[in-house]
Amino acid sequence: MNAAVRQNAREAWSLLLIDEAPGRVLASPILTSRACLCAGYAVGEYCRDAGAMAKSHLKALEVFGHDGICLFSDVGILAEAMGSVFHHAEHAVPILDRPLVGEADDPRELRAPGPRSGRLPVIVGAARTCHASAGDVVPVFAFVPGPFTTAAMLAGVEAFLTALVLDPPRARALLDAGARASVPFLDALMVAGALPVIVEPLASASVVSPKTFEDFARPYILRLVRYLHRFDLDVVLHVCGETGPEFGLLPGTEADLLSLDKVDLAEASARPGRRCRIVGNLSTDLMLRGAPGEVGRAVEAMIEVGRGTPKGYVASTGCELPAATPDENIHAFIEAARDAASPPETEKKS
Amino acid sequence: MRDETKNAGEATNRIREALERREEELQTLQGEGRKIIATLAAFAPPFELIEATGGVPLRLLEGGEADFETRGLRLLKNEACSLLKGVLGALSSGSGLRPDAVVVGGACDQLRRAAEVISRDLGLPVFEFSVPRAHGNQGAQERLRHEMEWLGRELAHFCRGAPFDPGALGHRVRAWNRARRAARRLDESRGAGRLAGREALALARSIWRLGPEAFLEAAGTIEASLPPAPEVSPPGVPLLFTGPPVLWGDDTIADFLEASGRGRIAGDVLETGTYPHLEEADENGDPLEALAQRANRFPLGCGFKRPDGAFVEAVRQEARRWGAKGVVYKSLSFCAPWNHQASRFKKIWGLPLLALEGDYAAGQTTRLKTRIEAFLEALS
Amino acid sequence: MNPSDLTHLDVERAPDRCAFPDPAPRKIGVEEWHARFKRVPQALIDTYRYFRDAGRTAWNAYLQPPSFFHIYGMRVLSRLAFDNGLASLRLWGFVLNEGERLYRARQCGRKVVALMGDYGSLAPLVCSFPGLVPFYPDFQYWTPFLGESKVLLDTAEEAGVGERCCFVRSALAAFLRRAYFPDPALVIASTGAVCDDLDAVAQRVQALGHPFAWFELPWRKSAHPGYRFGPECAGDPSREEALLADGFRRAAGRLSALAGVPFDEGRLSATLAKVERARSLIRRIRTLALSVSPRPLPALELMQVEFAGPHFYADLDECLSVLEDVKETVERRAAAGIGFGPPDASPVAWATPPADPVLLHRLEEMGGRLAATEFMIAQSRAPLDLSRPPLEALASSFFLEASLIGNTEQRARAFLDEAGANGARGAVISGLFASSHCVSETRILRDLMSKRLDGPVLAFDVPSPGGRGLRNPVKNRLAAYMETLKRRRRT
Repeated sequence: MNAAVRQNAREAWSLLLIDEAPGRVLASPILTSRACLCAGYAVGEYCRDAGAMAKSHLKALEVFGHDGICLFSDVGILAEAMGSVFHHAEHAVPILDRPLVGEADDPRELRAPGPRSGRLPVIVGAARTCHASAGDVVPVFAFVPGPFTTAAMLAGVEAFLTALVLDPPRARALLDAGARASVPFLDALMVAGALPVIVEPLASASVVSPKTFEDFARPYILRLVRYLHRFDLDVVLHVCGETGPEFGLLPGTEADLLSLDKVDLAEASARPGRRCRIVGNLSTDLMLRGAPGEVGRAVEAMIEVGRGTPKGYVASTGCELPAATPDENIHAFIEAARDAASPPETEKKS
Repeated sequence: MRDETKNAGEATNRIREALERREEELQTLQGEGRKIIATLAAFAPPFELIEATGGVPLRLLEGGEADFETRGLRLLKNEACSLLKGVLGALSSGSGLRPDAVVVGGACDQLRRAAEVISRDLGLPVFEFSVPRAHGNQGAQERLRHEMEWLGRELAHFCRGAPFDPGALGHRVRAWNRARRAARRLDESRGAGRLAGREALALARSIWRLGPEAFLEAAGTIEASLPPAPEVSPPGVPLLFTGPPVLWGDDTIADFLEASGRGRIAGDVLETGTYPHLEEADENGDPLEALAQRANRFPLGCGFKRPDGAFVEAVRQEARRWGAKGVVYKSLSFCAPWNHQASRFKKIWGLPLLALEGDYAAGQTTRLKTRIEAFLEALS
Repeated sequence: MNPSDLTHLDVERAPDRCAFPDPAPRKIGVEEWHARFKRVPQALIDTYRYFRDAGRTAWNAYLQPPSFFHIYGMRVLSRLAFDNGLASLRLWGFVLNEGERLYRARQCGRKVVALMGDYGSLAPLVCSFPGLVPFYPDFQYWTPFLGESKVLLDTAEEAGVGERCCFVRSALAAFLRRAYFPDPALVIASTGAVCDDLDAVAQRVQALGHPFAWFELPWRKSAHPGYRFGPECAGDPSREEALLADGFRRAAGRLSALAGVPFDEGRLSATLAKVERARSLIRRIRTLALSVSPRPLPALELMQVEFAGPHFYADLDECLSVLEDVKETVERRAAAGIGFGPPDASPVAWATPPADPVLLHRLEEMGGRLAATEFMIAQSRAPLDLSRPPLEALASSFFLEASLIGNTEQRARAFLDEAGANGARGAVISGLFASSHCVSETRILRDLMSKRLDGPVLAFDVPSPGGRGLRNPVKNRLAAYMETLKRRRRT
């Protein structure tokens, strides 16, 4: 049989997602706001302007040739659209300044923001542009803050974490608001051509206990996953930080792909990897500070482990690339993945 | 000056004279009531069959002339193959001999569909001759034989108002076999450096106009005047020439290949070359069966059969036989059966390959010459 | 077997179908269907599945909104509008899901058989063998347009088959890229009376090394003056049908070896009964969609229905159910006098399936409607005479009706009759640059259409995809043409 032509990202992803072995290892580092440097934009402008965001990612794609466009600015985007106040700086992503929900406010009265609220149109517009420009060869992922993280951005992180312990009904009301808030945004992203990725940095074991995850994070993540599953989409759940203690619980979110960070990849592959595809998990610290050779070797070693994942594997970083990540390291990542041999057959759904 | 070059001039003249005489002869024959039956392929149907019905076969190879192509475009889209444009253009021009009927062999879809254009727009009677393409299939030979039987009956009725005479067919098979033997001698002469490749091609092609008897005469005269084989290999990189039919206007390519002395056409696998004559039809037994067997089994220099393995192997063998160092793959514009296999053939044959697509637009000649010279330069 | 006795194929009356009634017919875009889809009961989503014998799996539901396919790369969908009825949504999901379905077929132990060029005669034979699933890689011809992408065309060019081959070259590229369908267990490609481009591509595919067989399609000759056909003469239909039937028997031998069971005429007869049911549904839907005003089915959906004929989108049983659903919807709309577009839409006959779906969409946006179609697959809806032995029935139906094995006049005959009966006021020929049949056919078709319809004929070559939107010249020409038809109607 003739040797196959190298598949593009769209083709390789499409095979992975229907339980077929792609012709090569997918290399999809979480290249989010770092992309702005490729097009010469400041981070602030990238976060505020759909055109800047789109051009950044399209330029980054041209420069690096990675396997997924990752549209993301910050975890507060939904909360901001609902009314939380964020501080915007020219060279940093927005950070929470004043949460919307004070102690006296009732979260049950919160309304979901329309897709034109706040900076939501930035992501939606960028998704539309990226899909129109490059969507034939590469999937467009749009990272959407999950309910747990949005709840924290609505009430303030400390206040929310405290409520989890001292006022569970209030915490659930915030979580419900966070979940509801996502829906119009998810709809707009889907119509624009993006595949939503639920991102829950605050739900990791670095922040909360597995029990808290199970009781408070998982049910609301599951709600969103099931909402997306209604449209038959493949759902990526990204939880950065340590999630090893949550391995037994993550498949219960029903996410199809788990994007992981500070975990033992072999264990992830062997445990949640039996039910979910695994995405990850090269250290962003290494990407930032390491030499290209080190990055390349680490990627090779990582792929060697990850490719044994029964449901399938995507080579990625544990979290979004820091702004100062050198170009050479990103190139080293992509090249090392490109040189890796084809993945083995994944387990077939039957 | 090379001997064969000096001789080439004589051979060219002889071929030209023979063809001119034949043109006049065809006009005379038509005037006497003989039916001129034009065809677009050499083996669909076999010429022996047409001759046995009393018809006079006329192979249409018009092409390479801008005027005919322009006329052809009035009947076809621009992406028609050059052969089709040239042939239909020539038929519609009213110049030259107008055949009494056309047999359209369905070797490819474009030619097959020409039947409707010829009938509808040119008002000529058309006989559609179906050629099985999947030659490995059981039943293909039997099918071809029945198709020939049918055509023989129809043409005999058309040409003479009489039934088909199988005895006449046997006679024509023997005549063509004699001509084939002469063609093979030309092939050997070319390989030995006694005859220029371009002259051998032109002479081989002329059989489709001259018929076997006139061809024998011309070939015999030329053969008798050939110098002995040179003691050293003739100069020029030996090349194998292949592709679809070489049209009357395509001779420029062969000329360019040999004019500088850096290349020579040592062999061919061409439907209009010497290759189809390497194998004779069996003179023993049923001539229809013999013709059907020959057409079904033997590549006949054309890659239209499916699969095309026999053609691929034929080129490989001929290249080896003549020590070819490169292959000239001269196709027609928009000829799908040939053009879309070129890159694949190149890999299979493992020889440098010059793929040319005949275009005939004004100003292409210089580009063509440059490409050929660059190819020869690279080989030598 | 009487096709009407196929009770096990009756449309499943999904319990919640009443909870999602069809609104007044209207074409809606991706965004509106996405919003509307949220109201589709989960029970309905769970009901519609392909490969039903696999049970309720995580992967065999196919009721998905257009936004789903858009996200996964079918970018053209954002420029189209769709029938807002449930049956059409089901149709779209079933059609666009086919790529995944072929991989799932292999995953659940079936063998995928690639057919090239015959468009409807071999697929029923394949379906008669347990565990074999037919498909046509040739239909990758649409993929560059669905994705608005040059990927496949560029790959074909790199393989030495460039723009001087029609868009069927996408099939070769799809084989090379190995991401559009699984490597087939067998390829059966037609040669003989087929388009040269398709034949050349098939020869290139054979060279890739898949298990392969050639199938000869006979030439349906024209009755020129002076021909005398008779029994046992070459060119006589009964001879050609016998040769086709022989070809089917040989193909059956290969399929039998693949399936591991002997060929059984009884099983083929049972399959042909279902195939004839599918064909009769297609004929019925076409008749209504082309003749009733306002049209009860939009043009794109009609094209999807027509293309169910060749291979039932790789699941005959489910295809039947989908077609039943569409037929029921179309009949209901026709009876109620409701449909799409203005009642005075200009009826247009359309020859050759447009590779770019935007063309049919634009036709309707510009005030046109289809009155007749000739999509090169007439054989796939031709009636099967089930009283005959099954191989003969297949051979006869194919030989008499196949669009491309005869000449243009033959191809156009039924099409022009239909156009005349449905009041077509003009015709469109959407050609393909470099396609062998278009070379001589276009002018002849144009002449035939002009004379028969007494209306203007627009002929163009569909431009390559890759840019956004129809290239302006074609768009402008179509707009000007529709304007001409409207003016002629007024006068």
